[in-house]
Amino acid sequence: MQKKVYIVEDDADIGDVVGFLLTGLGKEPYISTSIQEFKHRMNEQKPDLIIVDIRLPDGNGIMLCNQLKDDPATAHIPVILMSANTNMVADTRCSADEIIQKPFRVVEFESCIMRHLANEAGNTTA
Amino acid sequence: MNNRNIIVVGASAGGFDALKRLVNDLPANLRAAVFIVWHLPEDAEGILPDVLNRIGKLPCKTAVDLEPIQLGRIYVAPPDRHLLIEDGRVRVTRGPKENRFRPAIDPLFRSAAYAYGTLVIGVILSGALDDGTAGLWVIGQRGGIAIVQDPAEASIAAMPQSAKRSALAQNILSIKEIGPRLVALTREDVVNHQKKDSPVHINTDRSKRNSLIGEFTPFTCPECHDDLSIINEGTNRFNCPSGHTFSADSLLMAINENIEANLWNTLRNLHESIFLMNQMGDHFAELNERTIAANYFKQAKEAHRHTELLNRLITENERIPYNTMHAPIVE
Repeated sequence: MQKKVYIVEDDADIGDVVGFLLTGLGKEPYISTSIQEFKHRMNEQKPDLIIVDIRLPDGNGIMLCNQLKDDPATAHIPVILMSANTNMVADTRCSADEIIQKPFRVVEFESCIMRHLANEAGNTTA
Repeated sequence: MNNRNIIVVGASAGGFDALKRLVNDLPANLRAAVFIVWHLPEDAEGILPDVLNRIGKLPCKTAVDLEPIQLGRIYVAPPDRHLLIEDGRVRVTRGPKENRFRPAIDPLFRSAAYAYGTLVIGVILSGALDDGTAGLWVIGQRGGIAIVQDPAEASIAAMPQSAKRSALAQNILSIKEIGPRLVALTREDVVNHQKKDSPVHINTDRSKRNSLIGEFTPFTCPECHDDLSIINEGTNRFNCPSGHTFSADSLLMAINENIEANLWNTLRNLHESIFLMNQMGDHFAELNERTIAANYFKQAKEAHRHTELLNRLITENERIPYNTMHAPIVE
């Protein structure tokens, strides 16, 4: 079964590019342009991986990461934060499993995704 | 005789799907060089060549200043740099922003038209506002071919709509038709007539100030506050001596952003004055100077009323959808 990846990114073009790369990896991407839309989707079905942008129109990506990791129902899902400003992330408590600095190299992005999905599969099997 | 061998492509918001399809449709033996400007947030730029290399048959790379132009390659504008074409070589410069973008589509198109005249094909894809319209007009004026993605199918219609309206676009095509049309056009022989009487400057050097071309306007440059003059290139184009260039829509958007910034600034100043006047009122009340105290409180109350007016103005200003100014008015 294809792994589902939820992307929370308000810029539609970046969302499209990330979605395209995930499709190329054989994953099933779902793009939300706001936290509200993402939460609605989470209520319907949980994904295998979540990618969150730091700047969102209705909130902060770091806080969303922390909420997801503090909630026992979602804590096991790998969360990757995309940020252009890693200093800002370093100054704040951030529970994301990994932070990808934007702009990213495609190969680095893909290996990051595959690594976390492999870990998630290992955790699920265990 | 030559074949048309310079293809310049401009895309903005919603342009990724169109770029994917276009690049996918270009054959490995294309007898042309392709140059792409895609507006993206600065933190996302630079990934397009990697992505397009996954899709197309032509090698794609970020353009490097002064490299020779090679046919059968795709050159992408790097982040925060204009991509320009000179005779036989690529230029990548940090010239003044055009239409508030760097890279911008207009300078690429204009430089290609002046360097290669009838050998140029310009393509405008999905996007907001109107970058590319003036550049496509210059391509048409100098005998090149102007192609516009059908606005009816573009993810964001404003940019192709503007180009279609103003830029001598001979070809309004769906995205699936554009690739095959480009291939056919590159196989035709053309005579490269180049006019030398260009009235239009291409500013690639920030240290140089242009003399104003066109007529003076009452407007000032939103970037550097110098005078703006106006010329017509199929559509009105505003220029300052430093080289900042605006279409009418991008100038309007910049002016309105300045208005909003100034309104917020004024609101903050009003809140400060209310706070201070209330403190002064308390101070004079403690001194039993009741008339003076009452005057301060009265002024503070009046200023508070002004903040309500300003809040309403800011809210109304935020509601104006400048990107859809050309859409039909819905009552």
